[in-house]
Amino acid sequence: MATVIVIEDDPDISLLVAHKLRAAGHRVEVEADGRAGLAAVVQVRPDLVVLDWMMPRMNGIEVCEAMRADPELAGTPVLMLTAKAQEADLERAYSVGVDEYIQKPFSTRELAVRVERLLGA
Amino acid sequence: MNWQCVWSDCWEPEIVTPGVETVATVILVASTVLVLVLVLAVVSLRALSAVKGVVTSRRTAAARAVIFAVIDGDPPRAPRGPVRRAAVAATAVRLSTKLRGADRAALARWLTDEGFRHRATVMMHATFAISRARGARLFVACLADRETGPLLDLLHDRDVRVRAVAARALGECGISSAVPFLVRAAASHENPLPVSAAAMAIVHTAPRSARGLGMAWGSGDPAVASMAADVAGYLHLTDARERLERLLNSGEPEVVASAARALARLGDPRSAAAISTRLVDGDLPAQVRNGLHVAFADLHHVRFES
Repeated sequence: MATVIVIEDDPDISLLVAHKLRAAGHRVEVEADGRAGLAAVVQVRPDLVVLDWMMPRMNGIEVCEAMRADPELAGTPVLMLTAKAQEADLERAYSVGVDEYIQKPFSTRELAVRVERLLGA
Repeated sequence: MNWQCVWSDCWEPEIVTPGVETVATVILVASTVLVLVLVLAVVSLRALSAVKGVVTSRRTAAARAVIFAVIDGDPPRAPRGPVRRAAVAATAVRLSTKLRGADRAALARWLTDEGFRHRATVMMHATFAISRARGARLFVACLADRETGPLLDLLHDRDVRVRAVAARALGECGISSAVPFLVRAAASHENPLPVSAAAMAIVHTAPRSARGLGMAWGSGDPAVASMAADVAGYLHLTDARERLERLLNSGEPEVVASAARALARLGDPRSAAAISTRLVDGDLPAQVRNGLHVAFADLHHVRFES
């Protein structure tokens, strides 16, 4: 069982992702904004972070940058779940250290496969 | 010194008549009652809205549980009561735009099987615009087989909000075959679709070629021609270059500015010649001229200083 933190400001999506990951046997925590999410990541030290890009207070890119700057969190896999679909957005996400990138609208099956891959890596 | 004597010299007793005293008392009591009533009203409203919030959030949680079960492949029966059905419909509408693939198909199938699609069709013919708009959103949530006919009809609805909702719904479905209908609705003289709504919907459907924008390129309506240019630039439709260069010769400053912006986004240096030719024209407004200079500079990867 892995610990996953879902940082997403849309409750429909965060609760659906949490529901799917719990069904897969993981322990899940949900945070609704970037700053609270980063605080939870620092405290909990999860095995994986599922991260939205556009969020209040601190966006997903800033959260990922902060994680990568912290030696103890630098290796934590990050899966970005975002509506941003331009090539430049993809490049930006990977350049700050995002490990996987899923575009919204998304498939929960694809999400589950990518999560397992990241947790198994 | 006799202070009492001094006081008695200076002090003049206040003259108060019994009538004035009564009026003052009445005003005081009335104000107190009014303040109390207002405080009670505020407290009651807050309590009511808190209760309503709790009830709504419980209803939404229950609706989410139903929809999640549908997505999990274990579909329950839809609730019977109209309020709970409405909550399920609203949740399904919200989630359907965030899902794709098998999840979306499962949700659409379940909504159809449980009668929500029929309900949506009825709502789309309702008297009130808000009901028609809600019907359009629910209808899209029920779509798995891309039957867009009723939505295309709503692009010409008598209420602009319904037209915009129908356009957004088509965009969210990603139905590229709807693009010509969106363009036609935007260019229509009667009940036109707002150009911004058409543009957003077209960007969502993401046509892969400039040809997909069809009649928008030759539209006499500058807003529609500008929309074609903006969309082509935003979606980086490289085959739009020649059409955009032709739009540079438009008599409408708005169209010229959009075409220049789009050409800069495409970044093909071959367009620099067309832009510099247009700059020779001295009749252009300063803002458009500035836009052309910026586009020209962008194509040469230099910064334009106005």
